[in-house]
Amino acid sequence: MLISMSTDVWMFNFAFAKNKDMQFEISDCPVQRTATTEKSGPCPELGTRTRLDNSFDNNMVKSQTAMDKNSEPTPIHSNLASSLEQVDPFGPISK
Amino acid sequence: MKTPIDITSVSTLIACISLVATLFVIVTEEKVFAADSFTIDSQTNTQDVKGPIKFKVITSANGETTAKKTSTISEPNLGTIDIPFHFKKVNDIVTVGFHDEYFVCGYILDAKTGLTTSYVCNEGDLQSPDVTNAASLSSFLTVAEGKDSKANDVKLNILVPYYDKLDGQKIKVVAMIKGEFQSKIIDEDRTKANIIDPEGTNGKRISVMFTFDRNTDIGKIQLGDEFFACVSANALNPPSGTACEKRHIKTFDEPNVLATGHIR
Repeated sequence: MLISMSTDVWMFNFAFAKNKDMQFEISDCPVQRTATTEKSGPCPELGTRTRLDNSFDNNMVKSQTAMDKNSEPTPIHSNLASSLEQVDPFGPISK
Repeated sequence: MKTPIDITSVSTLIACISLVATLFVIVTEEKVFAADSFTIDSQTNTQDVKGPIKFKVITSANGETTAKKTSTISEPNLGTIDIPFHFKKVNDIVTVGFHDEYFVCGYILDAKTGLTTSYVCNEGDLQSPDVTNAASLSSFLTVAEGKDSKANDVKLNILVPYYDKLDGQKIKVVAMIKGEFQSKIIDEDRTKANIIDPEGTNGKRISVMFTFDRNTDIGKIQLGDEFFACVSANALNPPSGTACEKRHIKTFDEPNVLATGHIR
């Protein structure tokens, strides 16, 4: 019974786990922001170190079967910016 | 006479208490989260898509836009790619409401090159800010081949509505093409409203120009590519605080014009 209840908790807690037959990671693509403008930038390739602004976040979606054999999941880093050099990966926003 | 402690029972009891505490925390967090945000759940049917692929999906709602990209998906044909997007119900520009317009675009990418092979977009009306709004993506379109052009950028001229109720208000304009987006917040000002309304009303519109580099991380913008623009402001209500429109790129030589939002 406990095992069954624990499984339910995991399913509830990890709402992303609806992709039951696939496993992959998801990253938010970075955005350059000013008070009145936004401009998206190139999305980072997962599993590589990328220079990012502080809006970057990284999540992982898991499921039960069919794993991608070519790319192992990497640990989740919710605040990569603190450990990476802060640079502007974009040019100026066109006005 | 003392009764011996049943270690198994104690362990079970501790496990149960931990479980209840965990459930309480999760439920509490979920309620807090649900109170100030809403969800658009992109559900992409990839049953006919051959892997391996990567996938980029971008969603714009309530004046906010987010793009996400996956790692390699080796067997996309096994099911549906389900990626939820969470947005604040209230931001500096607008409060979300029933029938607000939003768009979701998904781009299937070659796993090796990272370039777009097909895409699909869904323009929808928000059913409710208080439930998860499912946005289905299916029937992918192959990317436009396009004529050869030396143009390095593409210009989008978004015509936003102006009328008395909007005067002095801030309005947010978002433009998106090929998974890239830009936004600007402008002041609605009568002196800027000098464009005849393409919808045929007697009102005037304000021109907001965006310039995108043709080279994106998922391929080069081509003639025929679909682009979106949304405008958001509380003063646009009713009928909705956010309105969106879409068109296809027709030229690199001059701005591609798109009127979004309606003059009341």
